[in-house]
Amino acid sequence: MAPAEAFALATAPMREKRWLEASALWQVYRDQYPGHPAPWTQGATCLMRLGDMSAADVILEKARERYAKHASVWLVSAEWARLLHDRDREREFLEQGLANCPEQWEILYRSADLQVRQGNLTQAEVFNERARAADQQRIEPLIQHAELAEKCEDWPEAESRWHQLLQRKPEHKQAYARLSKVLINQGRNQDARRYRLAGQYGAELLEPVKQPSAEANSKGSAGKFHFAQLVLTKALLGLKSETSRTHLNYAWVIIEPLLHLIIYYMLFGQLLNAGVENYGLFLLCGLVPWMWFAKAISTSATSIIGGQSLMLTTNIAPAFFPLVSVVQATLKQLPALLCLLALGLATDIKTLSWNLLWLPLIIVLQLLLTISLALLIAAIIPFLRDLANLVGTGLMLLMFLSGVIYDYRAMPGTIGQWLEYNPMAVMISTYRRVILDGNAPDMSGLGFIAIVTTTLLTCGVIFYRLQHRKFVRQGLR
Amino acid sequence: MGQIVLSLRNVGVRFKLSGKGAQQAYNQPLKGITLDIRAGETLGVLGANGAGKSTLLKIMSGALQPDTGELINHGVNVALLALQAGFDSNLSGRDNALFGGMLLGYTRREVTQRLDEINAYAELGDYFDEPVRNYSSGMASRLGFAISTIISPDVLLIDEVLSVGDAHFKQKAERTMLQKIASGQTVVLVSHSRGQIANLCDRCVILNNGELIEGENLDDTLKRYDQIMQRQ
Repeated sequence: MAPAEAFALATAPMREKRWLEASALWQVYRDQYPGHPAPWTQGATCLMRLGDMSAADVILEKARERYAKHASVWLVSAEWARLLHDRDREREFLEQGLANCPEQWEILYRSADLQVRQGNLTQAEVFNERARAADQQRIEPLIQHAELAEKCEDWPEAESRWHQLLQRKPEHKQAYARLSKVLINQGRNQDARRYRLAGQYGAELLEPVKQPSAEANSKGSAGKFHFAQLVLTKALLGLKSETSRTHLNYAWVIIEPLLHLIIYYMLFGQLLNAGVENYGLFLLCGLVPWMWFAKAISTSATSIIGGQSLMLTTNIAPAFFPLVSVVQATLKQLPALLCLLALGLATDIKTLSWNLLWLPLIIVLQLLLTISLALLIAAIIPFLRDLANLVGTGLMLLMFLSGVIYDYRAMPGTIGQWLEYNPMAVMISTYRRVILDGNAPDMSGLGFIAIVTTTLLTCGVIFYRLQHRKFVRQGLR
Repeated sequence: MGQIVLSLRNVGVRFKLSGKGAQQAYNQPLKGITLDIRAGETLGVLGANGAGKSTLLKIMSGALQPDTGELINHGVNVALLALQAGFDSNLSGRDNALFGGMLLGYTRREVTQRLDEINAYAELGDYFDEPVRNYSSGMASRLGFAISTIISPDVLLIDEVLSVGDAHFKQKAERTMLQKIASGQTVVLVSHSRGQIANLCDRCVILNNGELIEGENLDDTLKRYDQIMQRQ
């Protein structure tokens, strides 16, 4: 058997701490392989583990005579003396070892260790420096180097020594933990945690995280712009979501209101002509703005309650939810409004007039009216949930009171006059004036709508300001 | 020690109980909590189920107003790490990521630039353009976490989220969170995993029956936590 093979056979039981078995094997090898120190040193180690110090001494003494040039002999001898707490003999063995094997790193390292135990830290530093110089690949002297600084309680020096070690061996996990302890001693708990975690999860944790710029974090106009962008994005995505399961996708945004228009136009305008001239277009002028208004109000009514979980987790302003509902309804109804205009142009020559330029202003006014009402209703409903059930009925009643399917001015008695105070009735008659008759809108009517809108909006803003924090709480009930 | 960034002064929260059989008229998840959070620290909040941990985070984030006492924010922005907040299952992962990112305070352009990065992190591949309703729950939570990785507020509040997806992704998520913690981000971490708190936090408080318990140091607090858990 080759020596290496044979020795492997004996080190195996040592790894499993079967010292007796290993010891017997080494004893055999001592005779079989006379040129090798390993059977002697390893055999002695086994005996030392078994506690038979005197037997180990006998073997080591012979080994020292025969294999004086082998560092391992001196190291095991020193270890033997260390276990017996015989520091004089330990020093003696290490000195002899150094004389025989000059600048052997492990002997130097052990010498430094002995000096530490004897309390001669300056002497230990000297040995340690020699050990580090003797073999730069070895990690143990580097650890000892840092530990020496720790012993002196020179924490900044210890810190720099651990860093030196980590530069050489970035994967040395214990060093991170040790460095972390040094940092704790300096009171730098945060850095300490960084290094402790780096030891556990890998050194790349220490790399700085790139900080993305969050413009929206700054308050003021940038924040408001972002809010508007968020509302618009959510509304567009909402439309996408509504139509995502269909084959025609976005086309439904146009098709659906268009079908409505066609049905009403055919049914009332052509078949059930009530004797009113151009009744189809008259009806559409009422229906299209009304559908926009009703859709926006009904979807925004419970929107704040629906946004409960989002408000709890992201701290978003409650007004976000009704605004999204209104914008989404607007995006859906805008094509219908354009269709109405096209229809008006196609069927009635009176439609085409310079007064059509009023239309954008009227549409914006209606949008503002819708927003102000939607904000207020959405804000009240979380506090009085029962009202949610009345929204549908209320909208139906308002539809009859707004002259969507008839001209409210034709109502008997004073009812028609009272209806003048309904902003939606005024709104619809304004559309009819502009599209149907080609006249300029009634300024007092528009002014009235503007006043109502401003009042509602002011109430809404005050309500949101005062109750801002309470919306979430209401939703939790 | 860093500067104080958030202070809770005698904060109490109570909810009305509507059930007729309720013994008391109110449920009080928090009673008179006083707590300071300092810049750069990682604060652990331990407590049994229903001890009021999540309520405490909601108070800190500003989403919930306390009934008594006050929250003083010393000019920092606070964000709760909320996975899948505002997800719409009819929309694609891409659209959800866009809205989710904007919800976290980024402009549309900033999020658009980072969409590919988010997809790469979530490891969704072609599924990124599929509606989220077709996702497995693991994929959805991966997407949620990937979106939230882009935030770095002054104070980050984390509520038991370091358990998303499979083992591989969980490790990745943990590592990302650790990177934030290691880089000196102020973090408040809620957990009932004692080990996690012991490992990650500088300081720890215990919520027990709505009251705050803090020992002299982390080890002391953890010891007290063990005692409380044994008593139950």
